[in-house]
Amino acid sequence: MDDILFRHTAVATPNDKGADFLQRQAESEKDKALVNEAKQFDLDLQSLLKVDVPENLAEKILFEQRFSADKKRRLNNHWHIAIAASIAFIIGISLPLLTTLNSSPLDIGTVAMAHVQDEYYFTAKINEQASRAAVNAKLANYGGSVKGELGDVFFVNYCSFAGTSALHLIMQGEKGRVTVFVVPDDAGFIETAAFNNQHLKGITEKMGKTNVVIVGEKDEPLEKINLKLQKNIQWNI
Amino acid sequence: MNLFTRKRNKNDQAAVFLSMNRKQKRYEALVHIYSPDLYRYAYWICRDPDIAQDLVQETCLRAWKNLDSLLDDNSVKGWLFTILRRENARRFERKRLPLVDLDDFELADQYDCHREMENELLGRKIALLADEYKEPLLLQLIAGFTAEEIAVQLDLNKNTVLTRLFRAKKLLKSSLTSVTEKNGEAHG
Repeated sequence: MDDILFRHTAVATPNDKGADFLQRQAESEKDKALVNEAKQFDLDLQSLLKVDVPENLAEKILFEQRFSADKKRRLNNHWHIAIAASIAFIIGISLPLLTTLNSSPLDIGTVAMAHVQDEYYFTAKINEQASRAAVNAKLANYGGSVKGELGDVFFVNYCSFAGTSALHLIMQGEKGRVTVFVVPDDAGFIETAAFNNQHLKGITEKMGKTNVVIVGEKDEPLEKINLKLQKNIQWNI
Repeated sequence: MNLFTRKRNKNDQAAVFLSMNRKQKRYEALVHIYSPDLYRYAYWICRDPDIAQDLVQETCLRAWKNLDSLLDDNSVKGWLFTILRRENARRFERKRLPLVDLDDFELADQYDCHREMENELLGRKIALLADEYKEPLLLQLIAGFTAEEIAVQLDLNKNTVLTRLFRAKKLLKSSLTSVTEKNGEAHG
């Protein structure tokens, strides 16, 4: 081992255990002193570098880790909640859809009475004095045409009958106003011949390819309207 | 949530807890053994106790997350210091930290040549060392790595490490003696 390498080793790694290095120390007091001096310098530096470590450093680190592990666990829980919420959301969205798809058919009378009740204040006053031509124009879509006299028709228009496009007529009855719905018979309602609730009553009559629903007040003789309609409207079959 | 946990197989759960427990014990052991030297290394790298502590915290947290991938307990020290150095490098990516103020250093020059002051000065000198000299020095004197281990850590060959250790110590010693001499002259 030459001088340069020896001195380099002495300074860089004075604790080197290489045979060459140890031999030079054994052979020369001067070399040994050099190495010892370097060792001492290393020790000085080490003691200088050995700064105080903050109190409870290890505990703080471990606390942090537990906290992060906890957080992770909580996040995992949130993951479950998120999935559950998503599923609930999808169900919430699709449930109304499913009910419409699988819904049992509605009762034609119930729909008719609800419709009349909803529009009660509107229909009680309205008077558009619909002409026979106006009635015929709309009734034609349902395969009917007025041949005779229907009496006063206050209102005639299409309406949404629980999703089905129907014709909505308001006519003068014996006691008050009578509402007539002309509902296509392929709309899939339960056809109840006669129905009533605490305010209204009604009947259903098959005419042409439609169900004609007549709704009036409790004391209204609906059969008279029924006969009038049967007598004065001609249906394509 | 109990619903989900409860549904999980009981045996699986026990095994998970057992291995978690083992991992936790292993982690606690290495934190207790190595955190002081990691802290000191970090401290001399940045010379800021708070940043040093943060660095060690982050290092240990990263170590915890990757502990499963560490199979050999003998390589744990090298592994931890590698993580620490990476965390430190990441810190520099985020922001450039001011180097030690030169004014402080010049002020120190005027101090009386007392042993304590000498140490203070030496400390400042270490902090001011370029990283290429400082890192091998700290890895040797704080972490106790051999030249070979330092070479692996820093991805250098051994001779380069030896040269840098030599130069680092020479620099420290020479600056120390020159200051001492200068002060001596002033007093003389």
